[in-house]
Order: sequence, then structure tokens, then C-alpha cells
Amino acid sequence: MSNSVFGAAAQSSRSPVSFNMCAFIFVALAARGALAQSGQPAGVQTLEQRVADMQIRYEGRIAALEAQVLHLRAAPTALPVADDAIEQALGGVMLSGVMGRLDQTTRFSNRFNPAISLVSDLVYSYSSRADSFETDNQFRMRPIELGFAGRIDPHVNLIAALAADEDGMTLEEGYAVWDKGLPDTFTLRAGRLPIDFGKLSAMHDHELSFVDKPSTLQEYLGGKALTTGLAVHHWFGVGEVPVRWSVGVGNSLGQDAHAIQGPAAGEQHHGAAATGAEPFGRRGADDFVWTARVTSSIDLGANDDLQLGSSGIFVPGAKEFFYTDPPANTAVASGALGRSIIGIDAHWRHADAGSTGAFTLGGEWIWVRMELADTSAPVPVFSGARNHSQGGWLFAEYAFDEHWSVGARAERFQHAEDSSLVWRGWNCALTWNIDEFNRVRFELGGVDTDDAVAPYGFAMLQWTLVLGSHAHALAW
Amino acid sequence: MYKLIPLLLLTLAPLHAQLSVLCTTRDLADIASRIGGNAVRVEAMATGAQDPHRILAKPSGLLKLRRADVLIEMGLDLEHAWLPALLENAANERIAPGQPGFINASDGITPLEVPTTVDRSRGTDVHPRGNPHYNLDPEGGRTIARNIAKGLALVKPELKATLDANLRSFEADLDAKLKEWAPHFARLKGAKFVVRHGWFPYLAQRAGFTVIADLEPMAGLEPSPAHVAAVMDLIRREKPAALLVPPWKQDGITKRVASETGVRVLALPVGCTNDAPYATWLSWMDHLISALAAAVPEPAK
Repeated sequence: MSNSVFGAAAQSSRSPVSFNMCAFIFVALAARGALAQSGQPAGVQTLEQRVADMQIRYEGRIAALEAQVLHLRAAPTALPVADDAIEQALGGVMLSGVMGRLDQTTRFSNRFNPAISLVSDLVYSYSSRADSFETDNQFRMRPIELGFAGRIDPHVNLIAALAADEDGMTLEEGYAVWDKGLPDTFTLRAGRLPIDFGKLSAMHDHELSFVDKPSTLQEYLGGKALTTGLAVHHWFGVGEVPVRWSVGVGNSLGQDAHAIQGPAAGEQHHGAAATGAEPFGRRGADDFVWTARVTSSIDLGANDDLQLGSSGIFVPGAKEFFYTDPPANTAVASGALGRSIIGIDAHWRHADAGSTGAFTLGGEWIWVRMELADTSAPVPVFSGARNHSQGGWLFAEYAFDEHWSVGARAERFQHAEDSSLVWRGWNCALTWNIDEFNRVRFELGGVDTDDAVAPYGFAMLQWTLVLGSHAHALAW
Repeated sequence: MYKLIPLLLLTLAPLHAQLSVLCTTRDLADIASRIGGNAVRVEAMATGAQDPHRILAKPSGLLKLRRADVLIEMGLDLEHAWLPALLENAANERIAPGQPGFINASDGITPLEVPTTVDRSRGTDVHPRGNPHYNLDPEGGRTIARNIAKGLALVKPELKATLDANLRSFEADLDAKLKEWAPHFARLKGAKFVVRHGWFPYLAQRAGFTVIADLEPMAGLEPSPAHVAAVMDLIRREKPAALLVPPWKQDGITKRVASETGVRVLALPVGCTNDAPYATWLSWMDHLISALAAAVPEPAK
């Protein structure tokens, strides 16, 4: 009763399915009878189970084909039921290679491939900024986001997002989510992770209501905060109010750099000074980045909900390596730079159940404590000097329906490394969601800073496309 | 004081004995209430006044799913944009697909408009398993009721007799309504309508009316000016009984088509709601079928 027997029986004829099915069941029953007479109780039991399974599967297929016949009789002009649809309706009873439509095993099957998607984002960016030759008044193609997501086994999902541009491909996110089999609603995430900070940081750029993440986020976190490590998430209910919390640990605080406008545009983000010196010694607990967030979403009646959250990122003292004998650059030393970032966020949404419009009002405020090294001297000085800065944004978005929306955002923040310098900016966006996978946006903005850059304005026209099977987790 | 505790526990006991049934739509919730009776505590995640394709996935939905003993969905991918993400996060194995607590109310429906190829060039709201709006068909309600009775009996076999009795009662009411609706169906036979989205193929097949055009050129797409103009030409030529739109589509396009062609607009919920006269599935169907029939001009005598 091998697979080849079934294959031969099935492939011997191209006649209707019913004939193949009868032959199949006949062979199965004959084999069952023969084995029963041979006195092999263990084998008989197994084969009986197989026959029972096959009967169930074929009964399902017969039912689907009968449904198709009835359907065509009832509405002869209607479209026939597709075979794939029947397979799906049967909940996968025909999915095995042996029992499949071709009655043979397929060596290269797409059935277990993950959901694959590609996000394309083209922006024409105009700016009146004097030093913008490299970044503005030209077409800008954000790195294409290539996404993969699928279940590894009953316990674990794997999610990956690669960012590809003309310079190559980088792993933006790639992490496993162990979401089944853990106690209560705990999930464990491991890999290259978006840090769970605030409402917008972890979002992909194409999910935003504006072209870019707020400049405050770009300044303090580089846009999207990322790390390589672990995070534990859990949610529970307090009465009718869901509450979620997470804690995580990772190697270091990283970020993407896909902004078109703002402090992180053109990868101009304020990270630690790169000295080019080779690291040495061993890592300690102080080098890790520790993260935490707690958030809650409260329904205020049928049409309104309010989300409140608080997040923190703590790097006790990440080491920086530098040369002590420039320009010979033969001796290396290290110093530690700690950083603490605390944020609070609030978002209120009114969505009338009887319409497809919605109004959202939201904002986040962030405090940063940053240890600084004096890099103006030939040898950096790690004096423990600190800078405290803060900033945030407020935005409002009104969606007329599922296709059109307008939004406005205002923000103000102090420079991460020098709180005496203040950045003030505003954006207004008009968005046309042509459909779920095709969006055009026009955005105007202005920036006024206390540093050497003169106030400037910008305009962006963005066209975003999503190809393939693409979805996001519940964002809260 | 302490003597009151057993009494209090006895009072609370029926609440605990009730199955917590969460339904994705009000139609399902109403029918589940009829079938389950006092043995179930039913809640709906959306009403017929909302677009069931675009329900907001809120964290509060997680709690409802987490606490449910039974989840009833319309199926045929109606809820695919919001339910799977919530269900995955809710981590409630009792209502996971494949478990007895997960009831797909479309089981046994013969789907209409099943695409021969699944391709977004045919629209962005593609339903690979067919049109999911079978709740707008009287016999669709019967299928829903039977699936709910069967599903609840799997979860709580001791309720089977009660569920069967309630199912018989529901079907008797439906059969009585079908007799009442027979004259309406007779009037609707051969009538022409224009729609906005494919809500009506099941009811059209049942009642014998024809949908001559859809203002939505393809599922999930807004009409282009050229498409609107073509539909208006067709309306002027064919003189349909009405333009049928859901409540949230009484927008500029609908108003323009109505004003330029004179076609009557019927804005009707696509499922039962929390309010009269649409508060139960049967009363909503009653109102829907009556409204459609009333829109058809009486034949000349």
C-alpha cells in the first residue's frame, strides 16, 4: 500500500474524478481485507485508520464537487467554482502531495511558502534649503521593503523585512515570534527587532499618515529604533480595559535611516561619533540596551477609543572605541556613553460606526538624557558630561472616507546633544488611498531651527505601492 | 451575612453556565441568540450599519475574543481584513479555527461569484472563495442558524435538544416569513437594480431580480468618471427600480447619479443593526425585501 500504488491507480486514467476515487477506495478496501486475513493486527489497525482518513477526505471532495454541480445547475451563467477555492473550502484536505489533485508528490511546492510582499515608495522632494543638493529637488526612492512572514510550526512565526536599494540589501527586521504554547498571552520575540517604543517608532514608513516619521523621533531614535535581541510581550484585561506591556534587551540601539526630510534624512542622524577604532575587550551588561513599554487602549463608547502609553530605553554605558595617538592610530582606548530615553504617548480616535471616516488626534513627548564625549579634541574626552533634552509632536488626521484624508503635524524638540538648540517644524499632508495597495500623498512642511541652517520649506509628492500579501500586526 | 454567600453563588451560577458567544456581525448575534436562548450570552463585534469589510481592529476586541467560549464568523473571507490579526493575538485556543468553539456560519453555502483566478487586476477586495454576502438571502439565514445549532451542540452536547427545538422554532418563523415574502418576490421577479458593491447576488438569485450595473467598477475600487458616466447612461436607458447603496455610501457620487438620472436611491443596512426596524435578522430581512419590492413599479393593468 505504498504511494506508488496509489499513483499508478490514479494515473492510469484521465477519466472523471469519480472513477479515480472508486478505484482508490477499492484498492484501499481490498488491501485492508487482505491484511486482515493475514493476521497482522498492528498493521490492520494502521491501515484501517488510513482508509478511514481517506474516506473522510474523499467524502469532502465529493461534497465540494456536488456543490459545484448544484451551483452550476442553479445558476448556469454564474462563474464555476475554482478548484483552488474548493481546496480552500475543504480546509486543506487535498493538500497532501499523495492526496492532491495530481495524485503525486510535488518536489517543489509553493504551498508552504511564506507571505511575500514588496513595498515601493517613490518621493519627489522639493526643498528651499540651501545645502540640499544631495537630498532634495530630485526624485528619491526609499529602499524597497521586501517582506516575508509565515508560520514555522504550530508555535512560531518568522517575520523578515529586507531593505533593498541600489547600494545593496540590508536586514531591517528579522525575528521569530513564539506566540503559541507560552503561558497566558505571553509572546517571545527574538532576532533583529523593532524596539517597542511609543506608537510610531515601530511602524514601517509606508504605514504612516505622513511621508516621514516625526523629526523628534528621528532626532532621538533615528526614526525606527531597532536592536538585535529578545523581547517579551504580554497583555491582559483590567475589567474591560486591555493592557499590554513588554520588556526587551538587545545588543545596541540601532535605527533605520530612510527619512526623506528631517534630522535623519540622508543618514545625518546624531549617533555616537564613529572613530573607526577596532573594539576590544569583552562586552558587559552596561553595553546592552534595555527597553520597556506599557500601554492601554480604552473604548470610550462605540465610536471613540483612547490609547495611552509610556516607554523607556536605557543604555547604561555603551562603549565607544577611539585612538589615543592620532594620527598614528595604533593605540585604542574606550569610554562609555550612557543614554536614557523616556516617552509618553496618547492617541484618541473617533470613528463613527455608520461612516468610513475617522478623526485621530495624537501626540508623543520624549525626554532624553545623553552622555557626551568631547570629540573636538584630537583624543575624545569621556568626561561624563550630560545633556538633557526633550521634545514631541502633536498631530491630527481627518479621514473623509476610506480613500481621502488630510493631516497636520506640529513639533518642537531640543537638539539631542545640545538642548540650547531648538527645532520647530510643521507638516500638512493630503492623502489619496486609491485602493488598499496604491497611495498618493502630497505634503508641505516647514522647519525653523536655532542652528546654522536658515528656516526652509519643503514639499513632497509620494507614490507608495504594495505588491503581494502584506499585513501588519495590531498596532498598540 | 455569611449565610447569604451560597445564595449569591446560586444567583451567579446561571451566568457562569452560559456560553459566551462572540459573533463578528449583528446578524450572527441575533440568530445565535435565537438558537442558543438562555444558554448563551451573545455579543457582536459589528452591526449592519458598518462596512463589514472594514471594521477597525481594536485592542478591546482582543479581550472579547480572549473571553469567548465560541466565535461565530460569516466566513468566505468577509472578515479577513480584521479578524485574523485579532484572533492570532487573542491566544484563545477554544475559538481557534478547527476547534469546536470556532463556527464558520458559511459552511454549506454554495458560493456565488467565485473568481476563476485570484488576481488583483480584477479588484482589490477579491474574495477567493466567492461573494460573502449570503446573509442577504433568506436561505442564507437558515444555513447560518443550522450551523450555529450544530456548532453550539459540539461545544455543549447537553444543550442539543434545546438547540434543536430553538432551531425548529426559528425555521418555522422563517418559513412563515417566506410565505409573506412570496408576493414581494413575485413583484421583484425581472426587476432591474443598480448597486454599489456586490451585496445582492444571493437575494437577486432568490427573488429573481437583476443587477444591471455596479457603481463600483471592481471590488474595492472607487468609480472613475468614465465608469460613472457609463452607469448613468445605462440607468437612463434601462430605468432600474432603484440604486441600492449601503448607509455609508450616500456620498457625492451617489447623489450625483441620483440627481442626474432621477434614479431612486435606497440606502439600506447590509445586516441587522441595534435599532428598530432592523434589530433582528428577520425584521431586517422583512424591511429589506419590502423596501425593494416597494421600489418596483406596479405592472400596468
